Amino acid sequence: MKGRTTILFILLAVLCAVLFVVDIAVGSVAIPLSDVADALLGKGSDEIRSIVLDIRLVRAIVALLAGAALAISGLEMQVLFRNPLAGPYVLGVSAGASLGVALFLLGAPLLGIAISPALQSIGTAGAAWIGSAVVLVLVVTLSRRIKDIMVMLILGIMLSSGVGAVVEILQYFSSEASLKSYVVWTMGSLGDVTATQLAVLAPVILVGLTMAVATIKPMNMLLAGERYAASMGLNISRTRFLTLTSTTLLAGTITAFCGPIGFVGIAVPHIARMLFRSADHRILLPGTILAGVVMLLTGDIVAKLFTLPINTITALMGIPIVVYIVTRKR
Amino acid sequence: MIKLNNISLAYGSRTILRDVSLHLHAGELCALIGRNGAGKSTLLRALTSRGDILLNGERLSAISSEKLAQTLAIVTTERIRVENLLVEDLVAMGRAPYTNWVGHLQDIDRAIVNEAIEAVGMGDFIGRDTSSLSDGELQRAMIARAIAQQTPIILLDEPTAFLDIPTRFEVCRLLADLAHNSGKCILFSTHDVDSALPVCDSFAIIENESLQKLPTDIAANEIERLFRR
Repeated sequence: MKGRTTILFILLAVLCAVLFVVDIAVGSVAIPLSDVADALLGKGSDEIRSIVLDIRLVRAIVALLAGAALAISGLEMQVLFRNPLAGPYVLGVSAGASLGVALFLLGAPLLGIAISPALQSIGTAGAAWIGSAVVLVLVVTLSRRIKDIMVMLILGIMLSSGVGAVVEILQYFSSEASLKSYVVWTMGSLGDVTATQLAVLAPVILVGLTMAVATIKPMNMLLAGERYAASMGLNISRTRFLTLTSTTLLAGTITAFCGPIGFVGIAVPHIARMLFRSADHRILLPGTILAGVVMLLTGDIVAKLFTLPINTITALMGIPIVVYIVTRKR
Repeated sequence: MIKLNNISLAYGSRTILRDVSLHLHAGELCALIGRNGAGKSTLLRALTSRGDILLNGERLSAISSEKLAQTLAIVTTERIRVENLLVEDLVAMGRAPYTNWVGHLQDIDRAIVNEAIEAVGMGDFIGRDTSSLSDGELQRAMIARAIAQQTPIILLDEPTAFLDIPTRFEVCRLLADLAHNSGKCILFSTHDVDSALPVCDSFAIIENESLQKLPTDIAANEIERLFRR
């Protein structure tokens, strides 16, 4: 069993490395793998080096971070809510981000505030982040009062529906141009993140992942439910706070910069559970990170090859897994 | 070991227990019985949370959650069925109060886990997935988890519910072994008086908001009088 786990980790890590290089090679200008390697080592022509280091490398790192972040936020939610179909989207983090962006892109023009193109990118990310943070504060406040995890889950769904309704009202009154900006954001993109934005995104994701690592033991204890976990000495409120903060940092930041990318959070933890045949988060956490990276890098390669939005690819990859989870025991 | 002195418990505005006292000592197996809704589970829950209860001579409110986890283990009616969670991993959860921040098991922890699994007769199930266990097997695994927690006190909420008759007797004998051979203080709620009578040292009977603790030989008649009239 241990040998199998080690082999799986090595295979996934190698796959991640290969996909990372292929993701850099694929694009509107196909670059041979040898030239990619040269550019990464600081050799080769200036033109190729510029494409690889300034554009493709940033995008591949964003894909890598987004895969890890979304998958781990899903894993944390599934354990905390003891629900295999929980994820950052169910909690309302994505809905909060969408509301923030909708208010910025659709609401501001309605109030007569002009958005300059320079402001649009950073404003969108900021609005999404604020939206996610507001939902986090709301969820943490509610989770202190409401101990029933199912009630929290239903509140998350209600929140998402409520936000959806507000966004639709804004869409109804919006101009074609601002509506287009919003729709493009909802499709998600890994390519719009600049190197400067990556310098903000990467540390935040690393903090979120570190917090997730700190909850490995609590997550294992929570498999038995909150009452048992508390009886074995777990501080439930602290664990909830850590997990919810970590989820929002991870899912909120990725949604802010890349738009809502669905189905990674729900599907990847299940892929990791099936691959590693384990419920131990000391194995599942790194396994989920690697599987998430593989899924998003693969999705990005396909997206670039067929010039499709990343959100549609992850949906097509994730939906069969979710359907399998829902139907397999019936 | 456990001391409740003149405790009252209410559920919302409804009083469940009024001014009750209960003293249990090490090595004692006590069955808590009463009608549905009489307050058995409420009393067991209070034993893990009420500040005015004495455990091992210390007030519950003064005990840190870490120390409480090393003093008192619980087994609830909840069935834990998690896919890919092996019996040994479930039982190893009981070591949580003693392990480091990632829950790394030392050799001594593994030995305690194996011993606990053997104690409940689950040696052949050690590598089995908990989602494939029967109710009785799962209940024994949960008791093994409580044993691995190495606490002087174990509280169980209806450990024989949903079990077939032979398994009920088996679980009760297991609890008696733990109390009488390992010196643990065990309090368990049950409706299954027939399985409890041959093994318990005492019965705590809840009726009309009051609680009386009786030695088993006297309890049998009292139960007959209270509940079969």
